[in-house]
Amino acid sequence: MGNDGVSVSIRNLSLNFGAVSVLKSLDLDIQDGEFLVLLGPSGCGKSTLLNCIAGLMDVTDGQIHIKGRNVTWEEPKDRGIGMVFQSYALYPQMSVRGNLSFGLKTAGMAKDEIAKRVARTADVLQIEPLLDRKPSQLSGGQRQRVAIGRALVRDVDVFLFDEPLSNLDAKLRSELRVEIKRLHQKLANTMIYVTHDQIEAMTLADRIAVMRSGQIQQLDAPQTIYSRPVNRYVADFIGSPGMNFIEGEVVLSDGAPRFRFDGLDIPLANYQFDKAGAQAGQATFGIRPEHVAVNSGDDWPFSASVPVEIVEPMGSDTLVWSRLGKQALTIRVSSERAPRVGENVTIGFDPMNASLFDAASGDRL
Amino acid sequence: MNTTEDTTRRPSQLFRNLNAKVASIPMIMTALLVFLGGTVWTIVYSFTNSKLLPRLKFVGLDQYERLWSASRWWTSIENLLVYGVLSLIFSLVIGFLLAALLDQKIRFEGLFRTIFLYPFALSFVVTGLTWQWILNPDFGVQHIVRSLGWESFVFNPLYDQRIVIYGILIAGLWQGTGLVMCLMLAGLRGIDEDIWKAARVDGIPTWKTYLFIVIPMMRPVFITTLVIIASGIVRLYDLVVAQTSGGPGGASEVPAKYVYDYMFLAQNLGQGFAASTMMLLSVAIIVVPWAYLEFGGKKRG
Amino acid sequence: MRYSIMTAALAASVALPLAAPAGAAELEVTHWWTSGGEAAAVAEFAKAFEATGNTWVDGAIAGGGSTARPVMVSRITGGSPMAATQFNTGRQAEELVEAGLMRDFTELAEKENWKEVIRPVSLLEGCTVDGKVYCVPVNIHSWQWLWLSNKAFEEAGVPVPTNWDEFVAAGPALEKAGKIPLAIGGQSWQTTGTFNVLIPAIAGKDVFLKVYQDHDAEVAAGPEIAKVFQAADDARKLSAKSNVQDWNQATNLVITGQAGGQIMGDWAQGEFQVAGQVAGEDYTCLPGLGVNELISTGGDSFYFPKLDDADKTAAQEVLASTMLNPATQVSFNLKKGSVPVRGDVDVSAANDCMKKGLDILAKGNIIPDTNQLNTEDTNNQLNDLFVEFFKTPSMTPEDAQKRFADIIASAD
Repeated sequence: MGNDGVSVSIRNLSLNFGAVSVLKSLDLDIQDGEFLVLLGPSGCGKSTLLNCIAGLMDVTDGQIHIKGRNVTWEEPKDRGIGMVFQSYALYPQMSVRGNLSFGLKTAGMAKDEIAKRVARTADVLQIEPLLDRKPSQLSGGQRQRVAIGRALVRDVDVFLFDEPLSNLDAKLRSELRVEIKRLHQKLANTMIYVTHDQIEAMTLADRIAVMRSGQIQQLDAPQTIYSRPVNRYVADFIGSPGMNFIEGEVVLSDGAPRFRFDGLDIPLANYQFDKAGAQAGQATFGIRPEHVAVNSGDDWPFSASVPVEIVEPMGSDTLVWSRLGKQALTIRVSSERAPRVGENVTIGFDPMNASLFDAASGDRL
Repeated sequence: MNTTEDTTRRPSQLFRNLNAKVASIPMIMTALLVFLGGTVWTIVYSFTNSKLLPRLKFVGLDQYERLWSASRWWTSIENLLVYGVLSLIFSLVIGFLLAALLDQKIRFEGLFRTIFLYPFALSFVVTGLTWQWILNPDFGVQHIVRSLGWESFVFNPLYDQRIVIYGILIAGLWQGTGLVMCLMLAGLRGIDEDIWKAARVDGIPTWKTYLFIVIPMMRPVFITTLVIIASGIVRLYDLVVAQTSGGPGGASEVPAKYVYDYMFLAQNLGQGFAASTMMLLSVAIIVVPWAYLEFGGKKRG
Repeated sequence: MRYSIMTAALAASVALPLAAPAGAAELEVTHWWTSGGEAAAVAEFAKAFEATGNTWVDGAIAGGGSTARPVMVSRITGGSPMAATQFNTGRQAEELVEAGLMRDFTELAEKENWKEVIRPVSLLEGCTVDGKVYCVPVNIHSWQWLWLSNKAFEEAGVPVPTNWDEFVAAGPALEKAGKIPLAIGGQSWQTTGTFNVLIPAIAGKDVFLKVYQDHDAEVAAGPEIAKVFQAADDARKLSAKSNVQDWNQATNLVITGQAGGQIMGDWAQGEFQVAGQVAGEDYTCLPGLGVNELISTGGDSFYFPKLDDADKTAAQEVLASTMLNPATQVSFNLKKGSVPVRGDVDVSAANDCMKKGLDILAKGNIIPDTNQLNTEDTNNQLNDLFVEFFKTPSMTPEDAQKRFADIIASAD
């Protein structure tokens, strides 16, 4: 195929509802067999983008190619996609078997071919004992598996998931999350997954597209997004508990960049500036709670003594709220070594793990 | 120390929720006296030969014998069956189609809905009179079409014995389909959007989606609508009186009119009671098995 | 303070209408005289009654007798009776009288000598139960008339018929001229009336009495009645295109020359009068269909439900008396097209047709009206039968006669 290993290709996609621009000139290439997660808060356009790829919404401008074919104006059924919905959307009056086979029957497929596919799908998803039950007789997790099965029987290349786990409780969610990952490993299909939950995104994705207001902020592997967020918005969105942001300014002192705030000074020698290099100006210094060491005794490029204001035990870890200069700082420590409220502790970190953002634009420096 | 048990007895069920029970007494009395009492009274007096005023002179099944040998009664039942079955089918089909069309997120949906529902606000008498004029051969549809050039066009159902009941059917459908449409529309609105999307992704054509997925999901709405339509059918009286007075030649008679005419015009209460008891019986024959299936079966499950 | 003044004012305003001058009562009178001619006639009653110092509250009920009578009955049995109400002379209020809901006028009848004045005396007999007089007959209407439009026959190019057979023969010519030969309204009492007129006209007085007075089912199934059914079949064919509902709409077809004729009672005269037509010139009347000059002596009577109010009860007597006094009888009946019940009034102002009726009455060629012979139940069954017969061409006269005999057999 002349698609160079690109499964889904989106070019200049725009979608307007009247005067409101929901998707703004998006470009996105998804590789064969890739698990891509569209991540963002409500209203960022991720579900809309998925619906456009599926063909459930008409685009205002731009093109969509699936497996090298231009499907911009094709019906959903002709795009070679299968879709799983948040509310499962199983046909309530049909049995599981009926749900799986209805679409195939309508397409005029031979009975034995249908039976074969249904059996295979039931095997993969382990829903064989459920085949004759009605959706109302299934649990949430079982229903979602049937919903996935409905997409599976279509023998398509691309699977679309629209927040499929949001209706489930936390425990079930983590169980099914693993199942989906296993499924992806087994089938190796391209999967496009929409969610607002960063844990799902981080655990499942090959790449994450963080979206905001109809535009993709960053498209990278999870670890890259985590360690080198491309702007403050992405940095804030990923990571729980969230990144610490310290307002201050970058000054160049004898050519060496330093970050000054509240009378304190962080040397930025280890920090990887982007192509433009270090430039003076208002900036925000971001450091994740887990990258701040407490009472470690090691030599850190920056260290300070901070008061412990609040201690939040979270089980294996404890979140310590303190103050660096005049600004809040959260620190993650192992619960075994948690300090007590009122204590002063010595913290240290390396700017290599930090992110520096331009105060005005939020872009990474 | 004695071992007296200090157990508080569970308060008598009868006095629980006393306020609600007292408040419902008027309605219960009404139901018992008026509905139940009236029904029993009517059935009892249908075995008498009451004329203008009720009197307790029992004559066994005489009234029923006379009823079932009256050609007018047979015509009435026939008409009601034809009207009933067709009214049911067409109301549901047309109502559902209109609802499906309105559900397509069209503009001016509110306007269309008002237009379709408007006839329902009219009484059967007004509906009957209006359609009598529309179907009148001298100045209604037939006249208008003829004046447009088609000289031999004939559309005169109200004066043709064989098809007068269809003329009444048209008026009845015009009046009642709007309500069916609104009920169906409400039902359609209750269908999860994602079901439509899933069906579309599955490649199921729209009509099949309606037929095999959406309509089965709307079963409760259909049942409610069915009951409403059915009650309108059995009550059929004022439409017939206003539109055709039971004519021509008694061809559009209906049971409710038979009851009224014999009770008041013919000053023969006994005959009227017998007819209305038959109407009650026919409704019971349909409702009782259905109620058993709907509610009785569940107790076992 | 304000409260009690308001209350007093309200109480006073409510009390006001009750403090009417003594002797002047408001009487509500219900009837179904709503056509042009009928309304003009009943206005005469109202005028005469108001001249006595009382008030006539008109309670006209539209839709004919069959619509009005149930309303009247339910009001009387329901406990909110009117002061006076119309019924046809006969058995229509039989059960109400038996139930004791009507007041009797035996005293007034004796005082004003009704037995002597009212003719034929059978009218008063229809009002008498157990020797007591319960109603006041106010007119004599007969059914047995064929009204013909002179204009229609002229336009069809045939002479105006002088009897039923000639009328039937003129049918094709009328149809060719685009006229409806026989106009009949859709309401069932009209088709029954047509048939009942055909019986004395074709089978004679005796057969009529055997069927309706004696309820003889054998005669009803017999050859004389079979002939009547043949005539009814002719009438059916002649009236096939007639598609109006009310009797006066059918009369109107005759008045305007769109129909050749109508078999209808002499109350149709009121319509001809209101339309300004003259008997003999614009229209022709054939009593007894021109075959057997017999007229029935039906008509209307007023019944007076028992009332609690003493003033109104006294006023009821005044109304009864007014309806029967000679001047009112003349003015009312002339407008109505009926014959006065009193034999001692001056009817020189009557037109040609009414004079014919008076003549027949004087000769004594009368038959009772079916309303006096049959119950409403029997009449209703006959209505069902004849309205079906007239509109169902496939129903044979033989089949219809069989059902007719059954109804007569079960009549009480």
